[in-house]
Amino acid sequence: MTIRIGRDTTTWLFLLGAVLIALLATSATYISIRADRTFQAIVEERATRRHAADLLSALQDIEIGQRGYLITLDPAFLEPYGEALARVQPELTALERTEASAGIGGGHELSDLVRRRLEIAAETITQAQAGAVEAGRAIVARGEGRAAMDRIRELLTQIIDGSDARNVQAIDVQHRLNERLQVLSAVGGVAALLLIGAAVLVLRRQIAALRRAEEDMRRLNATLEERVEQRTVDLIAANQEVQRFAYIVTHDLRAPLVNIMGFTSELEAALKPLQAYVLADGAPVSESDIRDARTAAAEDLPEALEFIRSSTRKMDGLINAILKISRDGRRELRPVPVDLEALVRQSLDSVQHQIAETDGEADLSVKVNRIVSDRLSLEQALGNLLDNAVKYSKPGRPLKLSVSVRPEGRRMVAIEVTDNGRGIRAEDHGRVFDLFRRSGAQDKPGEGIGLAHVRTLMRNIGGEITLRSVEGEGATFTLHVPTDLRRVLDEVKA
Amino acid sequence: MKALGREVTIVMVEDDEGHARLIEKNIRRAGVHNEVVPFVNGGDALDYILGPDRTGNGMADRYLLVLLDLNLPDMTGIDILEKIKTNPNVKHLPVVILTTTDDEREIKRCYDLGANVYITKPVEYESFANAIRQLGLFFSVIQVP
Repeated sequence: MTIRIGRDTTTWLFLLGAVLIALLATSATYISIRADRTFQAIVEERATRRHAADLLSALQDIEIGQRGYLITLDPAFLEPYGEALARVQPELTALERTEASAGIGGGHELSDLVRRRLEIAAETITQAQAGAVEAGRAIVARGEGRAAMDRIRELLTQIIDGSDARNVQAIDVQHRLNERLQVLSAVGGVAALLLIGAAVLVLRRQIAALRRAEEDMRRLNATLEERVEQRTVDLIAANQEVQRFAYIVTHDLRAPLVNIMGFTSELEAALKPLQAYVLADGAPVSESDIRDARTAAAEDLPEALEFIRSSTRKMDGLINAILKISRDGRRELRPVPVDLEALVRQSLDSVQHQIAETDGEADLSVKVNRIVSDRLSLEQALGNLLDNAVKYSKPGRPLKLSVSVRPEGRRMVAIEVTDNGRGIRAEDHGRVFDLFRRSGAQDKPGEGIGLAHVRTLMRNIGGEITLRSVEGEGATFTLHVPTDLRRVLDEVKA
Repeated sequence: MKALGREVTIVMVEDDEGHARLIEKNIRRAGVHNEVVPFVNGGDALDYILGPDRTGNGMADRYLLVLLDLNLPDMTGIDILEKIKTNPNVKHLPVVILTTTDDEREIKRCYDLGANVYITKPVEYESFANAIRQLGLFFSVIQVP
């Protein structure tokens, strides 16, 4: 059960982990794609800015070269002019290709202005080279070139400013993306740690459960053989007991039957001399006939009748005893909570008077109090043991009786009754529990039923009775009682 | 009934008074008039046979025949049989087992322990009386050393 719950938890954990990882991966990919795009934009803006700046510087170089030449007519000024002229077109083309330049200077305004400015410069220089220096200067003085140049500067500055602004924006976006990525990484890390922690916890719990199950299995295996052996021994013992019971019962029932049959025959035999005398009908009766008839009437007949009667009574008693024992086995047991201390005290109270008569004393020690059992069985068993202790006390020795109740393993409790009475011979330790069997001097009334009855009571509630005794010193009877009769009954049902 | 010219005493260990009476009646009817000493429990019988100290010392020169019931209230007849047959002073005494059980294992056990005769008390009185009367024959041939 525990293991199955664990397995479900693990499945859920792995699912949660997978979902979390997928989410994190998707977010990270998205963020990185976005970052890539922003980076691309920044790179583009940088190119735009460079092209714009380069174009401006090339145009300025052209202007400086043109003016220098017009003033000095020194061809040395035409060198930077020509060089710069070569740079203009590529930069312009590159700038026009960038998106940033779109919309600035109304479509072709920039390229038109640049062309115009280059044309003016080329024209002035051509005039000057042809000797018409003043015409060239006049063109300059017209100011068209300067105006174009101003406008160009204005437009390029606009492009550069726009590019700078977008760059700042892109960097801002990039910054935010970075922040988001950091948060995501942190969350991911924490989530991963939590998941790993949970997984480790669940795994450890599962491993512990598995180990426990394995341990249980090993223990069960180890004890299985032992238990089978124990059951077999119990079964053999029970079987032998049934045989002994049958043996005792048949023997003891047959004994009075032998008497009844025997004395019936004796009755018949005694009848003959009596008939010979009574039914003589006037025929002569001898002296010995008369004597025999008198003996028969006075001794043989009453004796035979008395034996027949007593044997019949005895047989009835035996049958009743057997019935009582078998009724014990069939009585419905009622598992109820039993307060052992109160129960023992009550039983002791009922023999208190007899204990006091011998100057004896009784003590009680209870270490387990509440069990669930059949109250009547316990009362009868304990009552029987206490009665025996009083009945078989050693004459002249004050009776010392002690009852102790202590746990015996987890499922049993031992109720021990110890006396200092006459004790039981070692040979009879098994026999005293048999029906109609008694031990020692037969100087007390009794039929040998009590202990057999106690044993039947104990067996019925899943318990047992055992005996320790040294003859002449005392005896200890121990009732081994299951702490929960319901469990015993369940097991019997199963 | 005599052994080496001396009277043999019959020790009858039988807790059932009726049985004891029937046995005695039939012994008499068989013409045996020896003294019968009855015991109703094992302890008293052992005290008589082995002496109160149960050693058998000084009991060797008595001529006894033991009639033993196996089921006694205070001990089993097997115990008594064993005690008699393992005591060097009295183990020569003949022991006749008289009991209501005809359990094969028990009969064998008794013979193993040294019982001389085993008689089952049958419910039919005639066979019982016959068996007891047979004992009369047995008594007349036993030789007690």
